[in-house]
Amino acid sequence: MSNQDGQAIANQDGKPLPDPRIGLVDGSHGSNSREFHVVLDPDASVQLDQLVAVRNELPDGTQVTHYGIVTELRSRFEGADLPSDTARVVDRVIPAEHVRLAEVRALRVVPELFVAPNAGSVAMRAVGSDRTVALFEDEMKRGKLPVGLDMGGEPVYADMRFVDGRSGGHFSISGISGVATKTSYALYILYQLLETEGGMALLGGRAERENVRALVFNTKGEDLLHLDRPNSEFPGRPGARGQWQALGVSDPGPFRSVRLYAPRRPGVSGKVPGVKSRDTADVHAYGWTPEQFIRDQLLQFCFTSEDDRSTQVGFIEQQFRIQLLRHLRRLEGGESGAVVILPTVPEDTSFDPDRLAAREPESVPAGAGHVIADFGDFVDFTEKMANRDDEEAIKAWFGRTQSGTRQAYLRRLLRLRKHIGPLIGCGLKPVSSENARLHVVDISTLHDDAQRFVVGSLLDGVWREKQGTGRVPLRFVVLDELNKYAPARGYSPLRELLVDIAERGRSLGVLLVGAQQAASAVAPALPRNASIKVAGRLDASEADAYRFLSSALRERASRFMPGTMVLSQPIVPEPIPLRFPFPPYATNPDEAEADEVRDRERAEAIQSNLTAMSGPRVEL
Amino acid sequence: MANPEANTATSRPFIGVEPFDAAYGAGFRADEEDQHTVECRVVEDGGHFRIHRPPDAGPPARLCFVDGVRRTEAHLTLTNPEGETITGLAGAWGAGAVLIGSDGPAEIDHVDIGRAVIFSGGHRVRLSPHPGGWRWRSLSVENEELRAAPQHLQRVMRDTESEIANRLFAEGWLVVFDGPLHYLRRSRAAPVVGYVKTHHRRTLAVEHWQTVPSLGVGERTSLFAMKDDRYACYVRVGNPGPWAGPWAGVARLEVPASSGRSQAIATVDRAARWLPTFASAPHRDARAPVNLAPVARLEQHLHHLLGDSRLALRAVREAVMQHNRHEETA
Repeated sequence: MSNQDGQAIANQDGKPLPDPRIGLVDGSHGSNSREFHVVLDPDASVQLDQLVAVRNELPDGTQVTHYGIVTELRSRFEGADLPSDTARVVDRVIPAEHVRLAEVRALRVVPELFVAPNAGSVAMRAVGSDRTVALFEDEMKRGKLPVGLDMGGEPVYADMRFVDGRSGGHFSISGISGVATKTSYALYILYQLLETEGGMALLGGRAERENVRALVFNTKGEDLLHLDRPNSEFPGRPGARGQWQALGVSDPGPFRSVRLYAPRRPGVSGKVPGVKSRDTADVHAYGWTPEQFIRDQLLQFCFTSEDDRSTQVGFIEQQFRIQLLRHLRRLEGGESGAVVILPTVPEDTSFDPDRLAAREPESVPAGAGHVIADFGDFVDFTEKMANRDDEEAIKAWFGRTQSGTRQAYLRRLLRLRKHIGPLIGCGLKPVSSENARLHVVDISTLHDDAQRFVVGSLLDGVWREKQGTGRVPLRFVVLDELNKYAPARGYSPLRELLVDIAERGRSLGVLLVGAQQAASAVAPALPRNASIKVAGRLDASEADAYRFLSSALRERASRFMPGTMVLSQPIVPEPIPLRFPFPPYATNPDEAEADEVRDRERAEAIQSNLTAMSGPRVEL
Repeated sequence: MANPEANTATSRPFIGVEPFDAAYGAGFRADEEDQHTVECRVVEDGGHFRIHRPPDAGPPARLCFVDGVRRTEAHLTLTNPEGETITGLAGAWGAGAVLIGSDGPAEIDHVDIGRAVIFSGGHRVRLSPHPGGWRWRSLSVENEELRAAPQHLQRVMRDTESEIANRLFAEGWLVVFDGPLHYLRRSRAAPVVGYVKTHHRRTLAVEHWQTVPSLGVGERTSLFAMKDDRYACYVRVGNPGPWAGPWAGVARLEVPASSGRSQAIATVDRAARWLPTFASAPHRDARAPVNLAPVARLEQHLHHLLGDSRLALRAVREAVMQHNRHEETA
């Protein structure tokens, strides 16, 4: 038994594999260059997704190998013409032959010749170097990222050029919430890239490795605020460690380079993050100062919900945002980010928002204008401006809009006060990209409007930062429920930003790992621009939207168990079903392993404080 | 035990529909005035003609069905320099067996396929093999009649069947041979049953003959002697339907007399109980129920193995042309 190079076929342990022959290419159905059938030998054990190799010699002597993947299996009694014949065959009344057929879709023909495999050729299991060729691994010369294990437990790779933006980028992950394991898969990819030696080696030189960043938005519970802790259920999964090893990770563990962020606790003016399942010391409260809010033009991300797009509200926002920049001054004596909006500015002040934003504002005393120290002040200021009698000022700040439109704009801002308010305030620090590779931002407790505001503001920050720096270092952004931020129809600054990232992000090194329940609900540019498309369990009624899957695979995907995905990448013409291993990092509070040492230290500290407070015990 | 559903003689006239597809001709062709009519002697039950319900024989085991098919693929002529023309044919035959073992599925086995060029008048023609697996044996028959070559093809097929049957007797199978037993010339002592579907002539005295249709499924008549070498009886293997004539579903079983009467009785008893299991259904067989399902499937399989008839004809033409060219150059 040998492969195409004449080497004996053996698995990773060096043990010889069973006979690779599985049957013969069917001559009763015609084969073609894309698809053929294999009549299975009686003792061949073949499952869906197995890789098959068929070698042929062309009339001119060229040796050709067809590589394919089993997409369907059939079984029937040959000689039984009617359904009722089945019982007759089983009852030994009619003789019939049990035949099993495997439908194989061609993955690759080596050399690249568009020919059909000959009827009657021997079909073999593609193992060893055959498997490598079948899955185009030999073409992945610029590195290959292990993206999962195939159904036989062998690693499947993606061409790194389509992961890091050189030839393509972005992941699009689809599937039903709860069973499709979209977030888990995104984390698996991040773990491979950011936490394993192999993954880091793929990212390039030392500078690229150290400066790669991933931004993950936590949308459900406080699940992802525990990624830096070991998963207590991991040791109980005996197969998982072996699976990680097969994927090149010898020592799976928690994410090591992580910073966690959460909005500050509502109703508290300080900077205490609003988290329940973690110590507040482990998590950074995030937000923006009024100065950042205005200079970064974050006002645009306040108006992203469905009904904001069809009215003049967006126009007012634009006008108002520029005027804010023109009238912006720093509050004298404060470093906390509070600002003063002057009533008037010189006539020659620019209207170019980018130039205005780049300028360091001068400091003025509080009496020089309207002081804004939080979102409430900002809303008050807007209200004051809207109700002024000065026609000229109204026109300057709100454009030539009707009073009703202005009132609508104001109503929306008032509504946002409660939702966005906690995110804007003096002394707040935005999410930074320093000090860790993985930045987890909790938005789960925020209202939809505030979620969109945070996602828009942070993405805009990443996008602006990368405009001048080129592709590396890479920025990965993991965002679930993409349909909420970039819906299939309509217009909003956030949607346009995401579409822009999808279209241009790969060359600028901003790589989106987006997930959605249904690809049809997302702006078409996003899934279209994703080089790597992954689907977990799909909604059967939605399956039409997934053109990258064959109809059989779409139907199959509607029955996938959690943990089974199918991955399509540009160089492999057929999508490959795969599984990924159980995570060694905690993906929810229940999985997080108790940190005993730290708990004990804390308990002792509290105990000693109590003792100190209670004073010497008095004997009675 | 009489069959209540059987449409036997009643006080009123009854019209029956033959279950065979019209293309196969009628299953019942016995003519009262036929000169071939014989009245065989009943050799069981003290000469009284009875209906027997044999005891349950359990599920069929070590039972096999032997049958063959043949096909004329091309009619040939051979014209000699004197202008005399002799007829012949190129044809194929196949024979095989369906084995119902003690367990496991029914299997087709002992398949033998052959192809020959047969000329009458003692002439032999040798055609060279043709690519694609076409090769012909060279056979001849002394007779010069037009029917001689087709009859010889039939004979070759029957011989092949006999050989297969002989092998199977030797291995201890109960062989059901599709057709009358007189084709089988050897191994008369072995457990073999000739299975006759078509009733060409009356074989019994009229009063016995008229009771045959009252057979129930799985029942048989008393044995009677056909000539001096065979015993026979009638069995009903199935009920085609209320529209059918009285003889529909009735077949004749023949066993060699040389095996002795008690052996013969044991054999037909087993066969009578087992064969209804294999009766075919009208929607899947034009000769149901008497054409047995395993036999139908075997014939289908053998026809399939004979290959495509158009390709056969093409191969014969090309081989003949090659032969003629060779003759010219010689």
